[in-house]
Amino acid sequence: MENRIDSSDALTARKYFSNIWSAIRTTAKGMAITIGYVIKEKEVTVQYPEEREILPSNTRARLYNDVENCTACSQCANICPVNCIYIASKRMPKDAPAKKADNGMPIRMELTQYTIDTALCCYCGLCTTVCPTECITHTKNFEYSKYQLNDMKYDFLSTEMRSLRTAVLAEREE
Amino acid sequence: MNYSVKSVEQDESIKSEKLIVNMGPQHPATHGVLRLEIETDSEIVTKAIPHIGYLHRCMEKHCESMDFRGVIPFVDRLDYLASMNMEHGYVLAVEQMLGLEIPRRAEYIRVMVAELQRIASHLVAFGTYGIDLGAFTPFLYAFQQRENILSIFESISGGRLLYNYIWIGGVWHDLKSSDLEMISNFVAEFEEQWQRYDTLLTQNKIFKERTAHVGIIPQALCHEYGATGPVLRGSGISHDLRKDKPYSIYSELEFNIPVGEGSVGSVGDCWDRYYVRMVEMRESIKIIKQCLDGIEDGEVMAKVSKVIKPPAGEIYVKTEAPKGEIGYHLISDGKKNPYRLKVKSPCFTHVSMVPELAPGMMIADLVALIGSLDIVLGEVDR
Amino acid sequence: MLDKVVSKIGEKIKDVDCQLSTPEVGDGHILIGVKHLVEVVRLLCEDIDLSFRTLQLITGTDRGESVEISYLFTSFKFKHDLILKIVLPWPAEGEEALMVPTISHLFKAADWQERECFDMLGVKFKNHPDLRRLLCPDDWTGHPLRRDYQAEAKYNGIEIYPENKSNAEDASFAARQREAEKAAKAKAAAEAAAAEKK
Repeated sequence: MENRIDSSDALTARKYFSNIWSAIRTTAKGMAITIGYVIKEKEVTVQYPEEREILPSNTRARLYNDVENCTACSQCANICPVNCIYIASKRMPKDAPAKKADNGMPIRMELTQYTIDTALCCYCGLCTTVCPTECITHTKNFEYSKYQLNDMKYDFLSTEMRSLRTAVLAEREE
Repeated sequence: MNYSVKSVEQDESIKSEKLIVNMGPQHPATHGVLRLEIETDSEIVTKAIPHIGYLHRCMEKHCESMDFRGVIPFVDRLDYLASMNMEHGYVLAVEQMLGLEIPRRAEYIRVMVAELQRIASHLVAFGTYGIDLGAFTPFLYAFQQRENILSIFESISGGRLLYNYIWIGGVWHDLKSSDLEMISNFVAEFEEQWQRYDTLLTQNKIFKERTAHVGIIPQALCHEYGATGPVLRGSGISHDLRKDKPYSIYSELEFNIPVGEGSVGSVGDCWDRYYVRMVEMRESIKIIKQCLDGIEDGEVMAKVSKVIKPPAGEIYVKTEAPKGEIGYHLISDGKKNPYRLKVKSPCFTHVSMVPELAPGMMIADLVALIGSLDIVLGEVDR
Repeated sequence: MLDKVVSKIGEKIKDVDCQLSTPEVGDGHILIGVKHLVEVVRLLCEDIDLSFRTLQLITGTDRGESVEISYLFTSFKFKHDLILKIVLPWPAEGEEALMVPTISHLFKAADWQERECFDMLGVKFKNHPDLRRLLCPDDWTGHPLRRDYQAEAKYNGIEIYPENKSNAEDASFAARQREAEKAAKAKAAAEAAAAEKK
């Protein structure tokens, strides 16, 4: 190191001015780097709402459950560390036609409730890993702040959420 | 006219008393929600009492009702600036209980992400230390580089801060070739950046004056309190679990352990602790380079049963996190959730040293001391 | 390593209650009686061959019928660890709370660790200089890490589990559905029985 700090010596006039000088000199060196940045470097910030970063494919943002594929096994609700998934099902009526999920898993239960309180969700992604039909996934939508806490609760059996299905599936394909 | 001159002591109308200052819980220099109750005599601190617990969420109690996989998101939130390292320690504890063999590729990935995380954590320490001492610019540059690391993590795990990436038995996602490319790009340009940081802060005269000879922690005190990590190494004790008790694949890698030498002030002062972190970043880069060269193909997950039930028993596993040794004392009773998980957090130890170190310091120096301990309150309060 | 420590303890301290346990899985530990705790800890710390100069942590565990306290020591010199354990039975009725002698005069690290243990489990450390709550507020009631702990409904007028944030309705949906099904079934059965009677 070029100059040690010696606290033991008495402060002389010479030392006083040399201290000031070295403070100016070393700070100026730092300033030179900053000026270099201004001239050479490109900007690193993103003008957010207008410009967006491209999110990677495994981004973990809002959860979406594709209820058409869901077998109501409730593994996702069991593994969730914060218990934000509420799921209920009942037995299919006897005369109902046999249903199958996209990957061939038979669907034997009828889903009667599938609600996720995204205000509680900690985005750990454990629910997506245990799902046998991969119907619950993270989408890339991270901009869904609400004024009311209860609006963060999503009922995936509602027509409003069902209507998002095609868009989510298309995103998943990418 | 006749004036009589009284000294301050004689004049009863002037009282002298000690002033009690509350520093925090909302104070930029306490790095989170630490409250310091300081008793001051003019500008000299005579007593400092840390009050912690503002971020207490009783995570240890929560973990008792989680299954072993579900604990990982919770340990993520201990030291939220170094989630990967937190996960690594916990996962090793469970794996040692289960006696699992981890695929080589997963080990390489783990070490790589742990070292990247160490750099990210030290960059925050470096940047915020600058702010504590009145230098704002280094913070911006540090965060620019940290952003690169977070982008890498985002690409490999999907999360930017809390990853849930290192799993029992391996890692969640395999590294893609584009991820490896990103890491090698980062490694290639880091050295140049490091030189800039060095010029900006390390060599700066004002910075040196503020940190040299300040907050000296003697070696004996380190042992008595059980300080670890850069705080211990800053006091000149070469102790690093990656070398002394190698876990994962650290025994195959080459790197040095920087220790404080008192090259600017005296051994164990704030500058030494700061500089140990700076040199550690370079050593981490060395490790990552070796991992990039040596990474093997293959699986990233071992065969793990769906329900993880370690046999009854207990284990204490410690690993080297950026802030010090993070230890997990895991007690299992053979059921699917941990019976007890006690976390030994390094920052907890370091905060407990403050009452011993603070008396006799100036308030401004106390800020320098706390900054150099590099505490994260998520880990202190748990 | 543990046998060495045990033999050393047996050698130096008279009629000590000291058991070694080395399980197949995980770490072994040494179990000692509470009354010899301070002596044993002093020996571990001061003996040159052992030199456990650092206390890493104190873990209190509620084992149901008793409380177990583990002390974890490390030697920087020899680079080994040791888990020392004591077991405390729950106090009988009318007796003072769980009592352990403090070791904070031997290890400065023990000061906060013991305070945390007191806060979380209600173990009192005799002669501790400043035994206050550490993580919970001073006026908190109860010790969270006990198995039978129930959080109070209110703390200083603040509801701890506010109803409007607990999602009780969603959580109980499945149970209510089951009830309704049961009721419907019972009703159908009753109707069928009534029809048969006619």
